Amino acid sequence: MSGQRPGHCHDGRVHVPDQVPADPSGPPGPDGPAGVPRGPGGTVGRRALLAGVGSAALLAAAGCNPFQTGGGGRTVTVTSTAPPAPDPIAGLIAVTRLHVLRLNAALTGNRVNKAQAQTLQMVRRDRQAHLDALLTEQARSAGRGAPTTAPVTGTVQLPGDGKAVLGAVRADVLAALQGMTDAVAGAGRYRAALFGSIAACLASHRVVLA
Amino acid sequence: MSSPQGSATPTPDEPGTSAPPSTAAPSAGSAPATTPAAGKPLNPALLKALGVALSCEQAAVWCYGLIAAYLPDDLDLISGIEAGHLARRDATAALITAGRGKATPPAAAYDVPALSTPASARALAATLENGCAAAWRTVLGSTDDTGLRTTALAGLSDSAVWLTQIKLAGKISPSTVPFPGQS
Repeated sequence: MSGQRPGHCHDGRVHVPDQVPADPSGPPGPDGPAGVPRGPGGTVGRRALLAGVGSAALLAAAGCNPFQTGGGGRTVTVTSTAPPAPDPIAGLIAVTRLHVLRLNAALTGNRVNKAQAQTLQMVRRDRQAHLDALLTEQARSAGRGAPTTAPVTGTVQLPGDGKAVLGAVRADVLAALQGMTDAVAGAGRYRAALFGSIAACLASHRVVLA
Repeated sequence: MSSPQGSATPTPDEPGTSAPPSTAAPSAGSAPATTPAAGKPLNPALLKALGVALSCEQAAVWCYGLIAAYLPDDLDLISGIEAGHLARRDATAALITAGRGKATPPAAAYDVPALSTPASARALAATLENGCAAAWRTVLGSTDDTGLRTTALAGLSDSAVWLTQIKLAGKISPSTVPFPGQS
């Protein structure tokens, strides 16, 4: 870009020269300021009038206000308040509840051997304790005295043989571990310790299920 | 033995006090993560919690030398755990120093129950891992820093995993605890 031109709108401001060059063909007025053509008897000349009207039209078309004393163009500030982040504990509770159901399903039908069943029962015991603790924490943070615990009921299905059942439980543990680890980062301090402890337990579940 | 425990147990707070999210997973059995907060002074409560964790790791390193002598069948496991505690001890000392704290050196010896059987050695190992887990849980509940939380979670998870491995090796049931580090 080269230098600014008169009438060019730049940064929301109109830059015009201090003086409009005098029209050499027009007669100078008797008492007017130098360079401003005036008609006879102190009236504004036709050329000056047309130039003024033209400039005003250009400014209006450009959306600029030559009388604006502010520093720049039109500024619109929009403020809004972000909605509060949803409480992640509801999702953690849902996942834990589902895993308890799936562990119940894994223990039905004699699809795993005795040693595997003992391991699954141990994992289920821990997960039930996790569910209870999460419900208690949810009730505490909501200002309720006691959690609205409901027995974990329902039926889910797991794939047929024992190997597939253990694979499904391992996948559940891994998913729960990832979710709980993610929740640690954004939680308050008390919850971070609780979630971290549950995550550590889930890490130990991966060992017993390996 | 002196079993330092966390003294600043986190108390319930309102949800929403948040730190930036992280996707880091616990690193069971691996070296602890370095902290992104290195160079920044840490607050006294956090330094105190880290000091307790350092004391636990120092005791663990020393004690696993004894434990190994009574668990010759599990030497690989014990050596791996000892190496893990050694790495975490040194990283924790560096973390304290970087946070403008003073890392106390390890004691020359620790007062431990007399070991005479594999069962007594496993019991001592369980005491050590429970103590380390409690200390790291306290650190986890003492900071909003994502890097420090990741480090603390790794320490907590590793101790839980090592405790489970020791119990499995000794056929001790149950081999897991629902809330590691929680007394």
